[in-house]
Amino acid sequence: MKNKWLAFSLLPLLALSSCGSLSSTFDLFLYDESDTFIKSLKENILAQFAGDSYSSNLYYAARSQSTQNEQILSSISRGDPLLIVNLVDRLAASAIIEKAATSNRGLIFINREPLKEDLANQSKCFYVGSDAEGAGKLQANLAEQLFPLADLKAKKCAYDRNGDGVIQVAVIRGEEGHQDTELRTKWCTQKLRDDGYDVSILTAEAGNWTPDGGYSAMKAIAENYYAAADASKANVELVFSNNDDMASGAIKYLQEASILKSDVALDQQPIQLIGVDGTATGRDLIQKGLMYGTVLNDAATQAKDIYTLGKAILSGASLTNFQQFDYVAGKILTKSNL
Amino acid sequence: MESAQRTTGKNKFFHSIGFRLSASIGAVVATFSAALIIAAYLVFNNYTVSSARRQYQETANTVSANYDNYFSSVISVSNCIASLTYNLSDLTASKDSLVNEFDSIMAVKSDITGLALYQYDGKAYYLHDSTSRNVPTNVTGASWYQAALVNPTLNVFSRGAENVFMMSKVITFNKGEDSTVLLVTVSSVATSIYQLDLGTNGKIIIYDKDYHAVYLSSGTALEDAETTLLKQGVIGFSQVSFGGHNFILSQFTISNTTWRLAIFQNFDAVTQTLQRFIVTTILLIVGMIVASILVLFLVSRSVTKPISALRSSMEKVEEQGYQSYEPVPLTGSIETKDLARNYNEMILRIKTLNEDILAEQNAQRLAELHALQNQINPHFLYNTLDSIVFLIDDGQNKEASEMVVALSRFFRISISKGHNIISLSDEIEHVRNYLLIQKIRYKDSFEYSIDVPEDLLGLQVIKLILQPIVENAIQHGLLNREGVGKIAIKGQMEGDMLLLSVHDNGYGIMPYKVQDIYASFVDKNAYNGVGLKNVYQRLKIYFGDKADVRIDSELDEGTTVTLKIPVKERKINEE
Repeated sequence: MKNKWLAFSLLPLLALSSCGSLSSTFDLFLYDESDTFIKSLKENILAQFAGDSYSSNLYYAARSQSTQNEQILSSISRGDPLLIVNLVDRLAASAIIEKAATSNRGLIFINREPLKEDLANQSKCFYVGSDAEGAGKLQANLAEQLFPLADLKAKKCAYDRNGDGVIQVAVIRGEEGHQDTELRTKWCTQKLRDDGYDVSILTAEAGNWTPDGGYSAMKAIAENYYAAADASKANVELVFSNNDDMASGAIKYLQEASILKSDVALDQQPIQLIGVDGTATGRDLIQKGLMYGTVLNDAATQAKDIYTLGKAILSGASLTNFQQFDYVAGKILTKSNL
Repeated sequence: MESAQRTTGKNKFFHSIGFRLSASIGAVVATFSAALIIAAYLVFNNYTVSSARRQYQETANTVSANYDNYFSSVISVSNCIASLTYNLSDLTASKDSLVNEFDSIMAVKSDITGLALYQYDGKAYYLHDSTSRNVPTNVTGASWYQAALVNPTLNVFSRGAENVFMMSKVITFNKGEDSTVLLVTVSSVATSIYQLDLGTNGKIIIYDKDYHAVYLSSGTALEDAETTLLKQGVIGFSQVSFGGHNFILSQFTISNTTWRLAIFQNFDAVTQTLQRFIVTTILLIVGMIVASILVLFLVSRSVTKPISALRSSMEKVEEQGYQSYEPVPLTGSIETKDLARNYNEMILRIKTLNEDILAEQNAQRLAELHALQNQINPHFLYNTLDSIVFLIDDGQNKEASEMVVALSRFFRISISKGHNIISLSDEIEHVRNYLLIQKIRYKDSFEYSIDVPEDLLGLQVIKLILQPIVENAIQHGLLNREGVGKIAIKGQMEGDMLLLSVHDNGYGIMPYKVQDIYASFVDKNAYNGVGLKNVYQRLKIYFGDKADVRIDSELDEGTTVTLKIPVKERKINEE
């Protein structure tokens, strides 16, 4: 009987102590469940934190910023000290920062970069993401491996199918308004030009990050800029895709249209594709000889940086040594270094 | 002692049954009511208010989604133009095809009043405006132009005059090699986006992140109080009071813009319903408490009023004695009626007993006085002593001696150590001595006999009940009679009744005289001068109503006086 009362009197304490454990809870907000890169980034982040006794909550916004806003509000009102946010709409950052600042929560934005002005004067707000400009440049570097400048100028480059000394390029763009879309699109071609290449950008089609978007973008490109019968025509020779998911959709179309063949070596394929992210799907395509290479959007390194920063915020350590914007450089991935 | 137990004045009220009943049950009712109102409030609030709140929030969500779609559609115009220009190598040369495209866009989206493309030196490539408004041709200083250049990846939304807003964006052409700035002018944030009744003073506000209004569905500028509320909420839902009204304030970010949306929905109807509900409930409960106290008061009065009557009767009796007693009316509940009835009976009983005791005391005093008078009757004593002297002188020493002994015994029993109750044998002995003395004195003018069975001699009776009757028989029946008088004393049991009779063969008593004697028994004031009434009253006092004195007389034949004594019903113990 006595024990029973003791147990009852301890209940509130238990409740309190379980509240206390919330101080080591972090919340992860992801813009969509289906994005392959985001999925691997999430897994890397959770793996990093797995060694510590932190608990975590996972939220998917299904590409709705107002859904994500509600999720973030509930987290803030619950008192969780760290929010790791993959925004749906990067412009929503200012409101979220303003709301989180009222209760002194730590914020790490990932993948989608908020405006510099929004993070100005914030001591507990950070961004960790890929170096989008660098990724574009690395895509150009991959292209240069295929199209050595000297060979191209001498019109001896095998991948220059029509032998005109100019690379015919098409771009599959990611989501409109995403900083990575703009920067990767701009720099993959800009870098080639800066390095002295003649580049002919045939078209840029929107693929919205998804395989389906990549599929229809590639369809539009091929229908307008590829005719297998006429090799001398300025057919598309190189496709830069802003990410691997769209590249996989594009390759799916090209296979269905029998432009890419499954039984020939990479150098026999009429169109070369270069992606970004280095997801499992992308690696698989490289392995199969359907895609030349990709730029690793280094989920592991980003997750490591997020973990280091997040742990500092959770433990209340000094944050002065951290850069507010942490751009993690990408890495070139081809069949030779997979 | 009395003053300590009696409570008076205010204290009396607080200790009364009525107050205690009303207070305790009133407290129970009040507690129950308080619990009821809290429970009702919680239930009402939970199910009604929160569901209303959810409904309001859902409405706000829908409005927000519509604004998101609205702005996205403006952005999609920008994206559409960007994809158009991307593959154009020369914007000036392609003017005709662009004009067609722009026309079709503006035909579909009637909100868009202007589309323009500007070179980096601020000069217009192309202007297209559906209104007569003057579209600027040189815009290098315009803030929207500067902002677009600072954030080339952004669709920059800027406030224009009144509710007009502009969207500017750097877009590329010539396969991304050249850039231009696109300006989309939108006449108004469509007020008809969502036909929504926001209630009194309800409004939709679009504002930038510095809390400057871009669009107000009513009014011209943000009030300070509104700005404060917006800054408190930032995003999400809150219930606020403003300008004497309650609102559900819903705040959102608008997708792909740095702007935010605030919706004030008048919540008065719900809060008023809640208030009305609470007021109604409180009134009902107050009414309930008042009614129950009233009922309790009446009920307790019906209990306490008879009790009060009882109490005041008791106080009156206590202060003024039993003479002032008046029967307490039988009112109220069964219990109080019983109480009053029992009280009445008790008081009557006490009164009777008290009167009995008084009467007995009076009678005893009279009897004692009478006895004393008899005892010290000088004539009786002189005559007796004369008789003794005569006997001695006459040489009748034996008779003299007997008489002295009889006189001595007579007095001894008369006194009998102050006891009133004596055995029947003593009483017989007493009257025998009396007869003996009188017989000697009156020179054997009468004879007497005493016939009491042995087994009755142990019965207890009051003393001096036979002697007055025998005295009467001698005085009034036998003296001056010719011949020998006879006195016969008999004792016998008739059921539980002891009958003691004294018979004389004297003149007898006239019947009217007998009635007078009977009448004098029950008349307080009458005194017949004979000891009969005294004996009658004492028998009644000691032995109750069944005791009686009967007189049977026949002229010239004699008189029999019979004492009927229910010996087992003796009511008064020897003190």
